[in-house]
Amino acid sequence: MADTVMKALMLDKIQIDGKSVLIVQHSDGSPFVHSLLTHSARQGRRICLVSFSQSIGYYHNVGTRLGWNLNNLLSKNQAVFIGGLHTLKNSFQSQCPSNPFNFLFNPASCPLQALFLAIESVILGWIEQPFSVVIDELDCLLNLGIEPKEVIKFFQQCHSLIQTYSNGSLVVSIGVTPLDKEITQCSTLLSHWSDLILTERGLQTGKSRDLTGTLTVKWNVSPFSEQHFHFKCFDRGVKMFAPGTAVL
Amino acid sequence: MILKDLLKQPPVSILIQDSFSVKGRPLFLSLIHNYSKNGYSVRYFKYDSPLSSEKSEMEQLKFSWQTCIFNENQDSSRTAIESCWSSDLANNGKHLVVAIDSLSPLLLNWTVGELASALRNLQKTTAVAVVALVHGDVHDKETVQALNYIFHCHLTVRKAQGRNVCSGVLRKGSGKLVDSDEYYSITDQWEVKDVEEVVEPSPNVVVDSLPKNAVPKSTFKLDLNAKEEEARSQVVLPYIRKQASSATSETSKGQIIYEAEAPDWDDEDPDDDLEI
Repeated sequence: MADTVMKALMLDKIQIDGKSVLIVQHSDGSPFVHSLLTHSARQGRRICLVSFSQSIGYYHNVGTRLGWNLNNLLSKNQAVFIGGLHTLKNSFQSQCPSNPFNFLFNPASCPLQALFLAIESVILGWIEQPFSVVIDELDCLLNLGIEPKEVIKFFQQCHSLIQTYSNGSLVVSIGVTPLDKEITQCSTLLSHWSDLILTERGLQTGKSRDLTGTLTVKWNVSPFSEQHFHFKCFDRGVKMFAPGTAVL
Repeated sequence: MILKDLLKQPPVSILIQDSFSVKGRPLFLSLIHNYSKNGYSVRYFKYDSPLSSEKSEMEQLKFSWQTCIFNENQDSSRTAIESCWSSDLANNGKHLVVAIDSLSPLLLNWTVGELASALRNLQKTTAVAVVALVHGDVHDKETVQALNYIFHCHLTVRKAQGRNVCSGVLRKGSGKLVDSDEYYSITDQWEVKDVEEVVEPSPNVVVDSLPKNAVPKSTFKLDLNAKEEEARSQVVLPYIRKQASSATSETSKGQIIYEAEAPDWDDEDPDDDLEI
């Protein structure tokens, strides 16, 4: 099933090295982050996974169903898991002991700098090998009150890091709600900057037994194409098919 | 034709507005490449990601460029950015063009007023023309409209009938506003070509009457020859004849004829058959 997803995204023909992928989720729980993690694991790429709301156990459990073992990769130093909020809290704990979340609102310094440095220190050890930096649910930072300009700055720094080392790739997922102006603004600006944008939406008419949602795949670089798919989530993967065709 | 004139005339301050569906960067790079070819000195400031995909483009375009990303080592205050813009702009005899790609990250850090002030301060130091790109779908309408007061020319790129269209509004020195819509295309060498005005197609005139040969095809002879057509045209329909004859007599007025029916009273008690 992972093959059909990669085929739909054209990542079976186009190398992901040096590219940035943005997953814009209009519905809850994107399966495509896990599809891209599976793809990176199967290709033998080193994975730097940054999460703001989920634990290692969650990604391990989902990965096991999709056919790869995160704990195994962690033990072999082929994958690194960074808890985003934990990293930020530790770096500012000495400065702001009164409230553990004060670090987010400190205007004097860039609150995400510590997180970027943690990612950079991991990447510097992997320069000569293909690697993927996966940042899941970037909108959590905006929900916590960090200003959009700081989040944009953080993305630019990560993007520059990937561009510097041509065998790296960046995958960022961001959940969007139409009423949240800041998140919408951030996701639109990141869409301008990313090479591949996956926009995932639920069905307009509600839930369905046969379909989970719709996916729009847009390439900002060659082949400069835009395609629409329907997809259905199963326990062990995702099936993609063209609109109007039946699930095989 | 604004785009055509911009390519021939000396540079003015231009704002290019694009969206996620139609990119404005090719037109932006082509315009500054055109000014560079015509002898103007171009200083290119990049605030948008990504970086290296444009490296080959910068080398191809062959003019000085500088990338600026807000990081912990660089002060993102207005004074720092302004000094970055105005540094090394000594007039060496060449006219200067400052290209800003793009304004969107700056507008996240500054207000429109602060940006206007920074651009005005830039133009005070030396005579420069500013060519800037902005992503119109990132900001609200009021912000984008406010930018129109800063720039002399506003170009919006869109798609129409599969072709690139540039909708331009130019504010001349006299205050007059000129607007135009033009098709354009960009070559691999960053040159603008095939600039032609968009001509709206005239609406099709709808013919109310059916053509004479609208008779359905059949093995029976349904249409009329010329003699039969003439005979048919001379037939007077009965109701027209009657109307004509009644029109010559008294004019008939509308009349309602009512005949009262016999009263339908029943003297019997309808509940008489009930044994209460």
